[in-house]
Amino acid sequence: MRARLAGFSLERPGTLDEALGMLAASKERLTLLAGGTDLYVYLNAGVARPGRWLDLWGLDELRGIHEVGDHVVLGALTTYTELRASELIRGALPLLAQAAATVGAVAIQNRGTLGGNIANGSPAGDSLPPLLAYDAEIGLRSARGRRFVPFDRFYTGYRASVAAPDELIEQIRIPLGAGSSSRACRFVKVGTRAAQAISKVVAAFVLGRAGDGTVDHCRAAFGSVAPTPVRLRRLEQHVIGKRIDPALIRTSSDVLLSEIAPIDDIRSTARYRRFVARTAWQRFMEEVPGL
Amino acid sequence: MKQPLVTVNKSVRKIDGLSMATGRAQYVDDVHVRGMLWAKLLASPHAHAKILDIDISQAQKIPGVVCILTHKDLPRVPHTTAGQGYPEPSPYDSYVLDKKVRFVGDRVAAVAAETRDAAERAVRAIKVTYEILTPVLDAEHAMDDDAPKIHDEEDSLRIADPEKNLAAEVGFSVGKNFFEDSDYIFDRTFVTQYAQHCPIEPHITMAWFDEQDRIVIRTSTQVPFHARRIVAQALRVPVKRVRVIKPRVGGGFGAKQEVLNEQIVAALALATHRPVKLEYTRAEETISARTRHPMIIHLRSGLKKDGTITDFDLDVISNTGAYGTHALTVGCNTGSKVLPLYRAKNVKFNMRAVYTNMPVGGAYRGYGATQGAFAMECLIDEMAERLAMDPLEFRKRNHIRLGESSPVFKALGEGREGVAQSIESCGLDQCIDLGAREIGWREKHGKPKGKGPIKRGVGVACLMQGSSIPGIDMGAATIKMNEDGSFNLLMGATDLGTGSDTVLAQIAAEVLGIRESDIVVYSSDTDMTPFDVGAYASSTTFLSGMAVKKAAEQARDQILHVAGKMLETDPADAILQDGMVVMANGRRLSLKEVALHSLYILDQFQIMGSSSHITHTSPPPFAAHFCEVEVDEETGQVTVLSYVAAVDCGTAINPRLAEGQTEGAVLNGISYALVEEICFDPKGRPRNATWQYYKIFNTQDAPPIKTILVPTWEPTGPYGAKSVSEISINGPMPCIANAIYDAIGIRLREAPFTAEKVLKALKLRARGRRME
Repeated sequence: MRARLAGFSLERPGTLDEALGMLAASKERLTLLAGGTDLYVYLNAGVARPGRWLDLWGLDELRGIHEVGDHVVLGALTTYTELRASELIRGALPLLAQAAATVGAVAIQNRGTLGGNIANGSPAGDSLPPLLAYDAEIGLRSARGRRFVPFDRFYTGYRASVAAPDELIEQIRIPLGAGSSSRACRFVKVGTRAAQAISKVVAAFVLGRAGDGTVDHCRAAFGSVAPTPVRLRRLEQHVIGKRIDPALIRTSSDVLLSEIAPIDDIRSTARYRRFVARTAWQRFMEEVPGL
Repeated sequence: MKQPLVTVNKSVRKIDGLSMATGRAQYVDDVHVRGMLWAKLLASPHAHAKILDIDISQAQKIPGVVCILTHKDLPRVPHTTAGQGYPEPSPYDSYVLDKKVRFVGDRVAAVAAETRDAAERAVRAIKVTYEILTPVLDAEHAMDDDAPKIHDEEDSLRIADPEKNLAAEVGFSVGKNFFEDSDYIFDRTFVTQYAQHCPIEPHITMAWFDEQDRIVIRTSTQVPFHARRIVAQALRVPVKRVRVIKPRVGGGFGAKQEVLNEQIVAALALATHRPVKLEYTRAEETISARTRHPMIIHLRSGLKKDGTITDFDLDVISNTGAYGTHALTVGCNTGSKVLPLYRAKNVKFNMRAVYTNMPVGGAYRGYGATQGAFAMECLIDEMAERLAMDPLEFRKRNHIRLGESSPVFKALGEGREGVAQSIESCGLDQCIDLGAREIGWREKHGKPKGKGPIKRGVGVACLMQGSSIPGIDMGAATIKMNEDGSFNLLMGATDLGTGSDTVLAQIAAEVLGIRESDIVVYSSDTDMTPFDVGAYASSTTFLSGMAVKKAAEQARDQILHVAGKMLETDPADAILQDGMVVMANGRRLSLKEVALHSLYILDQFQIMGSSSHITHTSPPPFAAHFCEVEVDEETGQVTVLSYVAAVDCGTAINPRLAEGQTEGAVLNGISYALVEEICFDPKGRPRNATWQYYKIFNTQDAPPIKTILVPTWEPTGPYGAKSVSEISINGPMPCIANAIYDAIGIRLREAPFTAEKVLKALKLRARGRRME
């Protein structure tokens, strides 16, 4: 462990209200600890921010997967293992279940949480493109109240978000119809090996068509191609109202390439990322059922 | 008379398996010596620099810091860290601490402190003034006239040519009129990359003083006896004052055929008179420990239309990094374990190991043969294709056969001339046939496969290695009998998790007619066990196994002698079976009765045997590897769908362990072929020194691996055994490269075959086609 633990204090609120009170009262920004699969790594590497940590793990108010009205509501502490196992998620939001199954290894899936993945804000987070593709909203909670932010407006830059210092992620809300089985969908992860590899490129696509065969719904979300996970809105707009044919696949691919800005790093190259991002999209389009 | 085997060639349970599975096995770190200090090494941030000044005053003030050593505090003794027999064939170009640093990660100073935290803080507080020198980061240009000199010190010994950054050079030529009889000439260059061993247990060493003021070193090593000798040499203490203990080891793969940290830890113990422990972090393991020598391999061959290979000309530039540890011998093996596999009347070999300011090459499973086999097996495939001949048929026509020899055996040994030998066991044809059937070669090879952008292909590679180093390596063992008919087996042979304790116990048990569980194995401890060169060069089963067999036979003869007197029967033709002595006339005695008699009743003496073994040949194991791959032409992703390794290791003493060695080597090799590579920034700093970024394949990435053991009988090995541990790491790189060619028609000669690289090759071809 590289971190000097003397610089850290850990507090463990017993209830959500207690946690919100601590957040409201604190002058410094508190570090929120959920499953620890990112923060403990930072701690071990000596790059964790010293100061007060709030351990949310015991807050059962932040757990659970429920159908509420026309939404699926996921507590922020929902683990990847729970996502994988949930009949509701596997049936209604399959991309989320697939993404959860590719995160890290089993031990990480047991501890890692959806809220933690969102809060950590890595552009390579595997669960984030499915959330974008499903029009998720992030339920932020503070002593001041609760507000919902559409996930595609949650991040303001690299690992930066709209969450205020006294707010925590309470829940993730997804419209039930977002993953409707009448829509085609796909989750793609390109990594160095089968498990415990941060993605070179990660993507989630959802596509729906009207009775006349034209596209009436499209979501294309990517990770590891920009400083934050991104929805490619111009690409989505480009295909809406059109029929899928080779010309559309070609022109939409050009739009895709104009809309992403990956970088060279140790895991891959910008060039390769652009290429596989385009390939993933083209294959999805070519294989949309009923073409 | 050859009796049927009872214990040998049986998959008995690994004798240390239960303790490992339940966490009771004792590794280096599982003991704590009272008053132990933590050591930490200051690593150079520069690839090439002179140390002008080291200021330790601030570091010394940190509470808990007990000792800081720099080059000013230690005797300057040129030595090699290569754990090899004396005199080592590696240059003496290393110093425990030096005034110069030659790669990022080279050691500058050592700290011992009461806590790890204090040691780490002290290391950061040491102020070093460097004169930064231009680094050499390109092996091909290391020998240029204007290249900076890496070893400009005057006291290093046996460097081939320090002026040219040449650590070692070797070559030979047999035959004449090269390439004059050939109808086709092939000329190809292959490039292999930096890779790391990644043992689960990193380098860890403890040292303390015993009550007789001797230095006891408990260390994770493959070479306890070489460690004792080299520590004594480097610190100028007598060998008799050093004891090296090897407990359980969590993997070595060659990384621990290196006396890497034993010297500095012993030096800290000497300076402080306190117990000291040093454990590398994963990043230190990658940056500062040892790697596989990257090589540029230029292979030319001549071929006649009738399928006869006429010539081989193999030219190798091996990057040994900052120090020449194993530089000569690894390079020798690139030729000696590869060229003899195929007959050719003209054979030429030249190897130059060059210094660079990059991580240090070392011993790594396969030991140079891995790199050479990549070139050879890819070129063999290309030669077969030129003749429109099945690659299997072509290999069968040209590979070395039973009773044949190769001039290479005599011409090239381990750092010196080799030993002439002929092949006395060879199951390669059967390996080829069985492996081909398993993979479905006939149905799949050369046929268009796959749909859309996903293409499939199959590939093959044939391999040989050696078993021990002839005329040089020695292993010894002692076995003694206890009252209950059990035995203590004391060996210098070094089990690293490989299972050699089990395999060697099986050999002793076979001789003595008992079960392997009646043998108490102890390995290895320089105070307690006889000498053994250690676990390397694929030697333990073959070499130490013979020593064990001979020692057990001595004990057997004594048992028969005592039993004969007890029963007043001539013990000729008696046998040992199920813990009993069975006389030719049917009379029998238990080993327990014999033991009690010999220890307490009459003419008392200890029934014990002690024997050494050296070998005058190094019989090659053979193997044929096959794989089927899928190549995604749109992403460049290569996926190995299935892998078949057919291996002739003579008699497999323990078939399950032999399969384990094979599967481990194959997965290690697949990972090396497809993804593993240490990457550097322009200043020579590794960019992916931790497992967050240096990815090795694990079980989820493993394709189905089928091992087929093809039994042969090697007359010079114990119960017909040859080696099995290294050979199979040599297969995956050429086998996968050949399968990729079968799938997409592109020959890759630069490893690893990452998705990025495969895609680039596909695009280059597409561009070339458009230009046409």
